[in-house]
Amino acid sequence: MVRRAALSTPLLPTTPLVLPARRLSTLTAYVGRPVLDGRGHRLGRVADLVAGSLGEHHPPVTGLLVRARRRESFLALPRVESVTSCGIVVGPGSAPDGFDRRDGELLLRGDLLDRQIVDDNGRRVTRASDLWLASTDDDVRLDDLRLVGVDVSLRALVRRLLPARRRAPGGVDQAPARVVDWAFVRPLTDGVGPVRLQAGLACTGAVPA
Amino acid sequence: MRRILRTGGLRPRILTRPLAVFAVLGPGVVAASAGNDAGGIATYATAGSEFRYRMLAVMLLVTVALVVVQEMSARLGAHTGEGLVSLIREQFTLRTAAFALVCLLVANLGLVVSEFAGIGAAFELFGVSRYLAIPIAAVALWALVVFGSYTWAERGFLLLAIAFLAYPVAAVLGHPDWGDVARDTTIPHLGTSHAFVLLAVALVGTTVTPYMQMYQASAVADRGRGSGGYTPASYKVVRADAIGGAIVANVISMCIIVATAATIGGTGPLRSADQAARALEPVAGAGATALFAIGLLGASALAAAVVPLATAYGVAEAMGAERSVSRRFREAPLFLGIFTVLVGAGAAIALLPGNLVQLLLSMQVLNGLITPVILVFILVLANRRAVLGDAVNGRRFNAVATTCVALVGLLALVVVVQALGARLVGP
Repeated sequence: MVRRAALSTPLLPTTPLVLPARRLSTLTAYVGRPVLDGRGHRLGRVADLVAGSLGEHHPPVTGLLVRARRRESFLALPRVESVTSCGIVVGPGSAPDGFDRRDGELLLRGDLLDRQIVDDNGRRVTRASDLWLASTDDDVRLDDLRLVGVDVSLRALVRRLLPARRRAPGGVDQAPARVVDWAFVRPLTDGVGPVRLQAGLACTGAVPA
Repeated sequence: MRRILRTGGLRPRILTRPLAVFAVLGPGVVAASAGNDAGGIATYATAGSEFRYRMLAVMLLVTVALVVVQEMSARLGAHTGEGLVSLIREQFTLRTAAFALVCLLVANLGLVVSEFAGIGAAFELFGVSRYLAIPIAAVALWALVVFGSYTWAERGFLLLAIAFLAYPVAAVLGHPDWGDVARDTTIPHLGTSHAFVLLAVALVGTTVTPYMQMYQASAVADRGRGSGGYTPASYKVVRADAIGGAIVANVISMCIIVATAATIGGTGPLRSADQAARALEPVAGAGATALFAIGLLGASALAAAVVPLATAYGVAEAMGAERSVSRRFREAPLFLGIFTVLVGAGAAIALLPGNLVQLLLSMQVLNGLITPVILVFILVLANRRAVLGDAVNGRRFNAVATTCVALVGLLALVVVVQALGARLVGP
């Protein structure tokens, strides 16, 4: 007999996100941050993060979309020199380029944040309250930044609603509570409507790293 | 055996059951007719008694606003397959979306208060104290919804509410001066008195209620998902329903104003439900009070259950929770919690001592102040290509829609400024 209680609880494979030697951060900690050049001049604000190679278990973030004077331009991730509490500092001669979205690229904020998450059976379960990213364990640099999970916790919503604290996005004071590993997530799009995220064991047979 | 309530059954029940009852009516007609609830009746009756036919011109503007707003809501629901709250959560920042949701919660709580005030007023017409009637009604409605035998009660309430169809007949039998009616409908009286502006905002609030736009978009989206989406031809039917519903509902509202103006027009602000009932005397004679009380009870009880349910549904949209899956209602704590709080708080506020008609009007003013906020969200969404593609507002439609939203906003602003001014100057 099917247990009714099981039917009423969301069928999402949430896991504690344990990634040794990786520094965790959230998408919303980057969005809105000032982007500065080496001399401290402001180039704009982070509008979005771009991820490619979505087939990988943890897709790499390829760069930032920087908004300045209502225009958005692309800044490749290797150009980021350091992440400080003042903002994201880019190396000399790093003027942002124009952005043309390529096939297979996703905008983490524009396409994924706050989107509907459905389970294996297409049932709506919750929304993506935040996205978790991981980089190599370095205090200042953003090497090998990857999308590792989708936060579905209420805590993430509360964190976003409260006034932003001035701190570098690298540090996390609390381990994420309810996170779906990206290895279990698949973006669904019909090319017209908004992207939905399907999360469940059927999305991939693999066990997350 | 424990009864299992399906939220899948819940949604159609909240949002499309009236369709089953009226068979031929679409969500547009149902949504717009929802404006003729306790708050609506009180506001239209006050308009007739205090300003005779002079509010009819305002109603004409409100009708245009309602038509464009309901059409935009229907278009958003049809093209995206999502309700308004879903779209707001996805298209705006989280803080902006939270602000919109709080506005909707406050506006809908105001509506629930006015529905319970309506129930109280109806029972007082039968000589039953509202301090007895409202708590019993609140517990009964809550139990009906939570324990799942609500369906039959809902049909009963709808049958009772049919009593209000007597208004168009009363408007004719009351022998109004049709010359005055025509003149006051077409030539706006720009009354700037506080009472006039306040009532105009209440008219907006009770007619272009944010709850109706939520309902319209969600109901259209649900139907579309159920039938595999809309074609341009099938959207035309949805559009005709949204526009037709808005016009029909407002014609009935205008009949309430005319019927009341013809019988008790010019006697000043409406003071009691008993007085409002006199507008039905040309139809029911001595039975006017009973007819009015029956209609008021049906309309109020129906809305007192449906508005909190639809609000809980909107919160589920915001959180991305399933609204159409087998799930025990009692095991959905968020849904049940919001429903319970709204019913409890609504009934408690309606029990505060004071004039019920005045309370009804205040709640419509509250809705009128929040309406422009929600309209701005709808207007922005209906202009976003990322949301609607080529179905965004056309240039002329957008000019009309923007003008309507601006005028509704201006009215609300005047009320706020007048209120602040009065506070600064002092009594």
